Amino acid sequence: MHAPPVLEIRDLTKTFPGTTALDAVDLDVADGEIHALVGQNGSGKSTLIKILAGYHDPDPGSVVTLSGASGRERLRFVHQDLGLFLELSAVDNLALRSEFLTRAGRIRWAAQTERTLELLADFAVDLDVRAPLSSATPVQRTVVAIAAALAGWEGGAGLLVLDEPTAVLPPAEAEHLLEIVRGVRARGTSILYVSHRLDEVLAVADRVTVLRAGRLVATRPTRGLDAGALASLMAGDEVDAGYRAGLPPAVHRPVALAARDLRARYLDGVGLELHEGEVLGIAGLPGSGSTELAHVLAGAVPHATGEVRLHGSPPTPVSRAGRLNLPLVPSDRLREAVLPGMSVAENLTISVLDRLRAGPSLSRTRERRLVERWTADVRVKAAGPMAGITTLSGGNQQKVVLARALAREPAVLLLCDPSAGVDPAARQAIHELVAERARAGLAVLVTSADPGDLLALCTRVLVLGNGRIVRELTGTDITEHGLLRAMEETDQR
Amino acid sequence: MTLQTERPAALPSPRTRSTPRWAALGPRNIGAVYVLGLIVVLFTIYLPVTYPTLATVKQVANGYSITAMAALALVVPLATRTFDLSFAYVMTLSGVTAAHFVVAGVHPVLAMGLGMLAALLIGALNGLVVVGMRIDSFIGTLATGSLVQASIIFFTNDQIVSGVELAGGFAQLAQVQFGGFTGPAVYAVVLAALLWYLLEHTVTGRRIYAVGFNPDAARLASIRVDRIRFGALIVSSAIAGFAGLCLASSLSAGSPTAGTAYLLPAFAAVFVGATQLRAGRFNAWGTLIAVVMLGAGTVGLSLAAAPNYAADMFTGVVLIGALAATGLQRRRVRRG
Amino acid sequence: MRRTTLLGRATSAMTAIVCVLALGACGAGEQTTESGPVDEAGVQQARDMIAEHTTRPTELNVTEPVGRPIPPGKSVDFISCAAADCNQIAGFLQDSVEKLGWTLNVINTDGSPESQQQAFAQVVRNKSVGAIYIAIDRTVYERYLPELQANGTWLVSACSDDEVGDGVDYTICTPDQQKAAGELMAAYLVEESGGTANAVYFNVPAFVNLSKMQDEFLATMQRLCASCGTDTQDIPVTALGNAVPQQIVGYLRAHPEVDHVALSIDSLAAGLPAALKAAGLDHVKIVGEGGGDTTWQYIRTGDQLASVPSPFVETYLAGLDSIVRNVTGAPQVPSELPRFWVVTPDNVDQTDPKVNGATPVVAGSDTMFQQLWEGN
Repeated sequence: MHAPPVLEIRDLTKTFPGTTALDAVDLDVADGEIHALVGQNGSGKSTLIKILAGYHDPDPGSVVTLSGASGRERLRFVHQDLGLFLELSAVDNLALRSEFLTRAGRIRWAAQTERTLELLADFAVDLDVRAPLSSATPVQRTVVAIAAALAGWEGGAGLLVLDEPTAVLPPAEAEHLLEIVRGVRARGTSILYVSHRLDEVLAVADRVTVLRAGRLVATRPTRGLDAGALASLMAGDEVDAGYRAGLPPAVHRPVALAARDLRARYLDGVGLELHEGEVLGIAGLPGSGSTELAHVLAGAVPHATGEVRLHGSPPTPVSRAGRLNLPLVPSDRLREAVLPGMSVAENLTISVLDRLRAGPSLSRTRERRLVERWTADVRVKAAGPMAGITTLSGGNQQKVVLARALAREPAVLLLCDPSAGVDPAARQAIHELVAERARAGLAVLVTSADPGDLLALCTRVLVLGNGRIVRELTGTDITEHGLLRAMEETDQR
Repeated sequence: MTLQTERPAALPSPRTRSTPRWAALGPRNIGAVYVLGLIVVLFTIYLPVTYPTLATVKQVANGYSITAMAALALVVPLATRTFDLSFAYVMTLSGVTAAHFVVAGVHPVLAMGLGMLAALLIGALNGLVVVGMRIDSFIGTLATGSLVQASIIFFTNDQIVSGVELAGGFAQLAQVQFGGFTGPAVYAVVLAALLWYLLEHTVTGRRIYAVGFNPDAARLASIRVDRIRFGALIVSSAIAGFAGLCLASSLSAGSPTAGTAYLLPAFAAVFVGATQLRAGRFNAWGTLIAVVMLGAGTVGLSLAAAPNYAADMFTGVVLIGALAATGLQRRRVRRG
Repeated sequence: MRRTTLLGRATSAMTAIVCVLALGACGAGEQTTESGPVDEAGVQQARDMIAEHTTRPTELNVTEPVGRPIPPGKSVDFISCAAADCNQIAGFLQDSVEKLGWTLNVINTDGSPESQQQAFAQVVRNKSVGAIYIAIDRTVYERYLPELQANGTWLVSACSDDEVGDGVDYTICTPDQQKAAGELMAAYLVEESGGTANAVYFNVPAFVNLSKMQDEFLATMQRLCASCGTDTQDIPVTALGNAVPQQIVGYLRAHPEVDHVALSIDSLAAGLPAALKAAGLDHVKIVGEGGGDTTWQYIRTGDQLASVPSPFVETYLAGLDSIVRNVTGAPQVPSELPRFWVVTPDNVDQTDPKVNGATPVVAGSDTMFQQLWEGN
């Protein structure tokens, strides 16, 4: 490869107040190469892509060079959310991205359709280009997004950045997409391929660059590399200095929650037992069912089937689990937890109002006492119980949501991404709070996209793949490396 | 963390608030009261003999009491972010139904009961359409409202239901007086007090607001969202039905289009009301304040024998004035 | 910062309200009151007029039979409106058209110019021998006139200020024909008050066919009772839903000397008696024009003093009569309404029987018209 690299990055540094997201990173993408970029959450890979996209400016001293005279013109992106309008057809989406073929102000739909068919012809997908994309399969949508990114790129030379293109695809379709990526490369386009599915990276990329904690770990050819070695590069050998709850194993203690044969969109027959005082982690790649599991248990997923049983109560179908005392702290705080426009106190007590009745009224005195107790317990920082919930920081909002769940005095708590969108201090405080409750006998189920949550809290982790439990990790097996390996393995099945 | 205090652990005691108590009386919180004050002062200067009198107070109270009840009917559904556009037609329906049975010789109380029953049936129909069939409430209740209007025209042949029987006991509902205030004026205040108690001082009221602010979060917080929405639509139909009875009683006739004229004034009042007292929440007293503000001005204009475009112009100007004085609900900073 | 914006807001709100008040001041009506001795001659004249007009007329002005055979199978169009009255009109027109052996096409409109234009387009397609419409502005249907003339459709304009010619073939219930009702309302007030009335007349400018009643009312008051106070007020048609009673009560409170209210149309009285009672203004008496079941009820219960019924059965049947004469080739007769009468508590029972829900001015006027047509 003697041609100059398509993309050349030298000493790329990006600091945000308080943290360094990227620290003197170097990266080259050769002409006609598929170059993979891997790293865990927080490794800096999304910051790098945002800098390429022009969303962030790098710190002074960094050098980002794109070959060719037209610079950024030669750089195209397909982001994880694809950026498509699902209500519109493939023709419309492509037309919006490039420009409409018009004559005297009128859109020439026939020519537009023809060009769309031409663009998609390369990718061998069977797609009705005039139907809304909402009826297309995920892989078809990805193809349309790629075609839209490449549209109008004469000659095809340039760099296409694919950000987690297979994240929501089932394995068979992911395979198809990889073929398409190779096809794009065959047309002369270089590709920067961002993914955390290591097998894919190994299958499709020529070279791979690994980032960890904002630093470049290595750039290696994929030939001769295996998933284990790659996972080691990502996780590193250093001991993680993060918080560890160090809870004792609890598998011998009574079962607090037993679930049988849970089935839903992503779940294909999951059963599990959760013991008193245990913090059970659920891990898995996106689409494995791990994020859905807690919502199914809480009875919040329509058409889910299966059975859940709390200690001391009869088995209940999950469709009616909403009536059990089984509180859920959702991961999407703004959409599913916070009641905007209401105060801290109102947000906190909303699930336990029945206990605050005094005759026909709501007892303000009892409410105040309850709020005082819980805000002190979970250490909420707010201007007062009457302060609007939206005036609080993310961490304090999360503490209020957690207190709302704990106020129900449950025997089992379901936690999803408990530290998402929370600053490091609050993250530790939340971890400590959960551990404290577990020591007091609370059974906790944690699902998280952030391995840090699982490492900090769990005594046992179930790894899900394709809607089933594929691995169980306990004790010293629960390491960052171990979790990553286990999740990767699920993908090769 | 803009509003975060420096206290390390527990909350400050509930008596210390971020906003001082007097702020509740500031123009931000009760802009409509300030506009009302301005209206009263200006009309008093302009009409010193006729305006600042008890008779004006009575005219505002009596003349706008049915508008007030119509607006109060909307408070509960809107608090759950559910529209009820059918309420105006329900008003017509209950009035026409009761008038029909009174003219047919049925005892007025029984006839009123039948009118209320008709209203409640439409409330249940709304619940079925909006909650059961998951049709957007704006369109769903527009549709049921059209159906109600169609059936009223079908059964009345678009004729006003009239008869001397209506001037008897039935007329007492709206024409009875308590110290110069008519029945509906008193009912509106009682109704507002009941709604205030329900929304501010009961468990159900708190849940109603929670459903309005974030139905998904409310559902996960173990609130039965569908049940609350269904109930809200029943409440609005019940109040609208009662307002319709008062309207028919005050007209001494069952007019097949009587309620329609209340559609827009009621929505205007309830939305202004939501910016008053409990900013961002639809509430009963705020709604009454808004009705009184609009009524005080309109009565002043009629005392001044203003030209026929003045009332509409006044309504438009005052709505904007009240909202400007209160300040638009600012998007607050979500995180520090 | 905050202080300035608040002040700014308050200023703008105040400015706006002051503007509205200023507008209110410009339009304020002037009350004319002249104190003086009661004009006994005028009161006597009023008494005589009312004595004559509280008896119901028994004859139509049209008495000339058509006298020619009626060709069968013709059709007539009626452009209806959204108001309750139009339903009644369609009903009794239907009966009479059936008696002719013809058919009536009722074309509904919702009052919007668009729906009215569609109705006229329908009339063009129907190629009927005649069409009757109510108070539709000429600009709405102007472009259909050539085709309607080509089709030979006889156009009857009812209750508008249109004039005959340029495609309009017959008009009835015109401002001139209606104005006598204003004279009777004035005479009734003078008679009832014994020459001491202080009256306000409420007009709805949107109803153009009633436009001359107000002048007639004021002139008659002046003629029969120069010492009586009079004033006028306009009501916007948009207030007709629920705002009218409060507007009238407001006026009466500002003018406590006024003790009689004359309404250019009786539907303004809906809810007014209750509003007057609530405001302690029970002594104010109401007369109106138009009639209808609610009005008869108000007169029976003493809520309203009297009403001058609008002869709308006669209006539309006269329109149909002119179509019949045109079809048969019989000479047209002059457009005329029957003489008005005054309905008071004493004669309100005569308002039964009705013709399809409407009280005719001349009892049995529908059969009288039908007899004119079946002469041969």
